Amino acid sequence: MRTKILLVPTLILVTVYTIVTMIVPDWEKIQQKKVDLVKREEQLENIKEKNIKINDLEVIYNNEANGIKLTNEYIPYQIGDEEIINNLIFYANSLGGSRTISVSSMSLNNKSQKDNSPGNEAIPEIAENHSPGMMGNMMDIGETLPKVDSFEVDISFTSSYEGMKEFFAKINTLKRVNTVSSFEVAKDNSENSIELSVSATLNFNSLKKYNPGFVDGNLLKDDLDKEVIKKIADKATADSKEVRVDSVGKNNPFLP
Amino acid sequence: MVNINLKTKNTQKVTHEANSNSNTSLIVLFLMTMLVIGVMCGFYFWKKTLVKKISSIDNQISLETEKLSGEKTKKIMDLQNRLAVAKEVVDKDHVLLAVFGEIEKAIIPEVYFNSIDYNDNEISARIVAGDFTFLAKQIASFKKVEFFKEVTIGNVSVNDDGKVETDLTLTID
Repeated sequence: MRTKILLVPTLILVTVYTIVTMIVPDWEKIQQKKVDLVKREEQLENIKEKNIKINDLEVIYNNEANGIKLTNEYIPYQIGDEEIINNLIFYANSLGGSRTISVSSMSLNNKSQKDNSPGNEAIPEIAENHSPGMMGNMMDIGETLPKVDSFEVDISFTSSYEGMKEFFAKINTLKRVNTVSSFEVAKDNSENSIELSVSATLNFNSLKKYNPGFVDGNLLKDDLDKEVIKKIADKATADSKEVRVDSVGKNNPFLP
Repeated sequence: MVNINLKTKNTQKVTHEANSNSNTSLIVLFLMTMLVIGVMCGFYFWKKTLVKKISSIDNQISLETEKLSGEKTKKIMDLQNRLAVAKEVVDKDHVLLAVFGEIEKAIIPEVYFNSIDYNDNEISARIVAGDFTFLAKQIASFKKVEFFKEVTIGNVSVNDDGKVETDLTLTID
């Protein structure tokens, strides 16, 4: 009887102790694992969907091979400053007769090297031995897309009005994107002079290749913009004569 | 020696009932212990199954991620990024050509430019007109062109040749 009296509370104590120290924490762990499992299932589903999307987009990619080649030339991987100078001098020299232009100076300035804005950061290095168990980390790491590198060319030259227009019309038909951010055009002091002094700042861009160590596909878009590919292809194949400015009111606004 | 039984019949009954209750309690406690052990075992196997499932999904995630991080994805995302940049500029011709195109259309024969500067959507020009009437006509002509959002003139003066000179500011989009 005494044994029984001792055994009952002991067993109750052991049972309560087991429940509190083992079963309750285990239950919480199981609940956490269930949540993890659901999250991982969702993540797997998400990645599978992205892989399916990639396969679909690859079909479009392969069908637009020519347009894509032109797009890669339009927004090139590298600035190619030697190519820029070569093209500008080639266009300048190709103009003859009354349209001859005489380049007096040209300076090149890589804007991106000076610019320390957040957009110009390099792609973050991501550990190659990334553990699939580190799901939280996987979701947190975002692959930054490369930002545009800008390159400025300041060019000064003298030419006739027609020469200046033709020079810029030719630059406009370059297969790579470029813009004129500012220009100054002034005529000589003499009223009837046809020579103009021209200074212009041209902007050229490049975009580094997207090549992160790990891709989570968060920045993947649903489609490839075929309309833009077509526009680039049209622009690349346009004749420089087509983009010349038509004269309506007066051929040369600098002449009296 | 005479044995005297001091226990009444009732006392014996109570003792018997207490023993019986004690046994029931033990059985209940035993069952509870078994239940606790059973739950612990169940939890152990449940956890093991979950860990196994998670591990299996992790392997699949690893494989799918490796596939997603392949060259195929990189080249497509690279192109998407390139197209997003191109979209902003592909429709725009050189502003210089556009500016001179519009000026050529709007300028009247009795007016000419001495200089034109363009920066940040603003054109600053020095123009010379035959007389004040032509200058007024010229300003009216520029104001009719949609390309020029704002037309402002500075100080007007008469130069040595008797012509009218002024600074002109044209704003574009």
